[in-house]
Amino acid sequence: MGTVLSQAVSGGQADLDVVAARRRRARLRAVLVVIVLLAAFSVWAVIDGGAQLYLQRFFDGITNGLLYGLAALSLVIVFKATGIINFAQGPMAMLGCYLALTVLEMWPMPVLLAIVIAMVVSGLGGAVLERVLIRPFDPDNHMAIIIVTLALFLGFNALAALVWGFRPLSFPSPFPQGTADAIEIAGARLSYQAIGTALLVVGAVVVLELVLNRTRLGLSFRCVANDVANSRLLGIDIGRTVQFSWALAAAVGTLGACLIAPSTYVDPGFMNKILVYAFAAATLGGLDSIRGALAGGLLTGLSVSLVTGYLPGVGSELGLVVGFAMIIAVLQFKPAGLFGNRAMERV
Amino acid sequence: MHRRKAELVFSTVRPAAVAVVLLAAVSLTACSHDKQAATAEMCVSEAEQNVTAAADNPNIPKAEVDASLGQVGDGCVFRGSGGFQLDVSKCPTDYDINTGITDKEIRLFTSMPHSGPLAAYGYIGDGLKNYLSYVNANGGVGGRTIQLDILDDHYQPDLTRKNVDKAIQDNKYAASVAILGSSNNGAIRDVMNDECMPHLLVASSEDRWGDVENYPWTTGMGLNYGNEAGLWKRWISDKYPDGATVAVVAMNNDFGKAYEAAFTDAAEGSNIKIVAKELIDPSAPNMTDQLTSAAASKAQVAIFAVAGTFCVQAIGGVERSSWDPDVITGNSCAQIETSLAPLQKEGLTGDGTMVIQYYYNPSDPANKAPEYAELYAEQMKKDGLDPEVAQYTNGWFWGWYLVAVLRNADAMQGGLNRANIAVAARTISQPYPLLVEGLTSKMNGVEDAYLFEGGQMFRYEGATTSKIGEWKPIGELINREGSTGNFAKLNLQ
Repeated sequence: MGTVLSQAVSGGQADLDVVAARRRRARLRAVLVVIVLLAAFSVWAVIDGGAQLYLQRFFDGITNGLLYGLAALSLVIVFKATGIINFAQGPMAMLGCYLALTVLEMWPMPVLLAIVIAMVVSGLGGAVLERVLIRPFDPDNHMAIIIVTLALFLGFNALAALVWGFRPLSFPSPFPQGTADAIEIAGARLSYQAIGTALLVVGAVVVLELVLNRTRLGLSFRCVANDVANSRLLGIDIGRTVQFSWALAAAVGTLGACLIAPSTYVDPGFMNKILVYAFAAATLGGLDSIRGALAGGLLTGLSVSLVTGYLPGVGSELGLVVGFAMIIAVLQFKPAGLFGNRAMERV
Repeated sequence: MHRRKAELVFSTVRPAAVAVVLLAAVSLTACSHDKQAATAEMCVSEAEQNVTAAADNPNIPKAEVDASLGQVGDGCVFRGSGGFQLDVSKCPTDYDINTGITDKEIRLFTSMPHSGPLAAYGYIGDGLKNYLSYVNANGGVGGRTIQLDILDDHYQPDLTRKNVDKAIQDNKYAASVAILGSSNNGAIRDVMNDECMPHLLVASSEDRWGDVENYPWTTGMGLNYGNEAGLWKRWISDKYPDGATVAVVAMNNDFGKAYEAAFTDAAEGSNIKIVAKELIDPSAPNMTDQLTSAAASKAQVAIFAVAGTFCVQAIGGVERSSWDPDVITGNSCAQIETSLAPLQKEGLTGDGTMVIQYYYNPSDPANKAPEYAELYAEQMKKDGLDPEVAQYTNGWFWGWYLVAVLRNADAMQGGLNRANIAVAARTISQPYPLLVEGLTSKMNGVEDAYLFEGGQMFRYEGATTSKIGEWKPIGELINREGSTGNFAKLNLQ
């Protein structure tokens, strides 16, 4: 990456404030454009197919979008601290979910507690993984680390198949999930499961935003991602910082997988399918933004369910294509994603 | 070739074989440039027939074939029932009908996913091996053991092709069996037929495997999608004589599209109206978008031509929604422990799901052959395999018909050789012990290229959130044995 700085190159606090304000305005403008486009499409959709169907598709899109966003979060956390995409994130989260399932089977307990236990264990696992397999590599050598994560991707999938087999298992939802557990709005169903998941996801985003943007730890994350050598000079413990990002990402990933699992069922490949959409969500939101990941997820989910549902000639089998078309469209205007910071290079 | 011929002369005392060799030798010396002679040579069967060696065992199919079928005279033509015959002289010049077959063993291969996300389907190979080890311990095929090599293709057609190319080059396999997947078999059937490699009992149920004329070396096995979709249509017509609306949700691949097209064909011209068609990409994480669109059609019947986790997602999704159609799934969703049992933990049951069945699972208490089912559980235990895994039971299903084919080939004129194996794969009449009562399984050359042509609608009943239910037959068994013909003359009406 060379010497890339995300802060303004030089100048005083006033300059920084001006740059930040400009960024905020640009971000707001981009989000507004997206919302206006979405609203226009929605009006046409309601006229075309009626309010009930539209609402149902809207809820489907939001529900799936939240899950994509949640999976994207853990990608963003590692990216923020290291500047790499962790391809093993899906399988790591999948293992975490199997772990929660196993804990539940061995000791009957509330589902949420089992999820928390699995999050702690996978957080520790993430830290160990970083120490053993990632730290031996030069943190500036992104390619080598990415290859390691690819190897982990394959290894974890095989491991899960070996231990738990391929049979799809159901993961109990922490929220009521029976046939009657839903509210109806104008005839469209919104399940308690979806509402509960949404609350949890938003809570997770708020906590992560606070941790990563308002604490010293968050600052060191950004510093390490930007410039390893300078961070070292500033006295930041590179290893610890990266290790913490892996642990945090593993824990958040496990939470995500456990919330996704009730709607997809658990088999060794279930998170790999989500991961593709999570990449889309993370890129859309800007790879280094927590709230961007969530916004990107929502946008991906909504556009997939609305575009494939309404645009004639775009069948529901083209969901992934729509997702990627969306990314390309956004990146044309906002190359760093909706919420991403544009990298500036010192010349 | 010459060396092997010499061995044959000294090691066997069958006058017929000696006569054949002498004849070939004489014609070779008399006219060494004659193509006729060369082709006659590649059709010399080295097999020693030994049909009576196998003891009577109800768990292994006996040879059941007209012994006059098979090699015609000493020539290169092999005749089967139902007007079918193979002319081996059209095969590559270095072809040998005895490759992979010795007095001790017969070597076969298969290609299926044994790693990667779809490796679960590959368990069928382990089930098959498990059954073959039982057969080998109980007489094999005329005293020969059946050896099966499983090649891994990750369910990717290009890798299947690579495996097949290598298997052909290795020059040690007599035939393939149960190669898995629609696209995978589609990618190799040309080369299999060009190379005259018997492409036995394909593990995919598309109609096109019954294309006798263009692909004589390829044979299908399971109830083909066209027939199954026709049975759905009949059931719907019976229940809704005044017409019905149907939503079809299918996987966006060869498998799902074949089902979808077959049902569209079957429903054409009837008062059944397809009001929604939704495709789902195999790589999609879930199918909520498709279910919402299908539900918006308010169809009376929902048909799910899906597999894997999509089965349980579809059944659970409909149960959870306010849509209440009759749910029919493809036979690919018929396994209770993978498609229905996972629903329980979510307060759902899956009750009322319907599927066309044509054979029972050994673990199904309603099955008609408890002894065979017991043997299955016992053999599974021997290899440390879980008898509940659906693909193992399918392995036994495929294994039964493989042994039927090999034993039939062994009993034909010329004995066990590759051409007779391909012919025998179109000359089957032995019924599997666990078939639905009243159903038959026959292959009869050109006239009948489909082993199964019938089934019965079953409904999943009696499940609660703490107990799994069972498949109960509803409606009549429909057996159209012998009436659907072959792919060129497909009669599904």
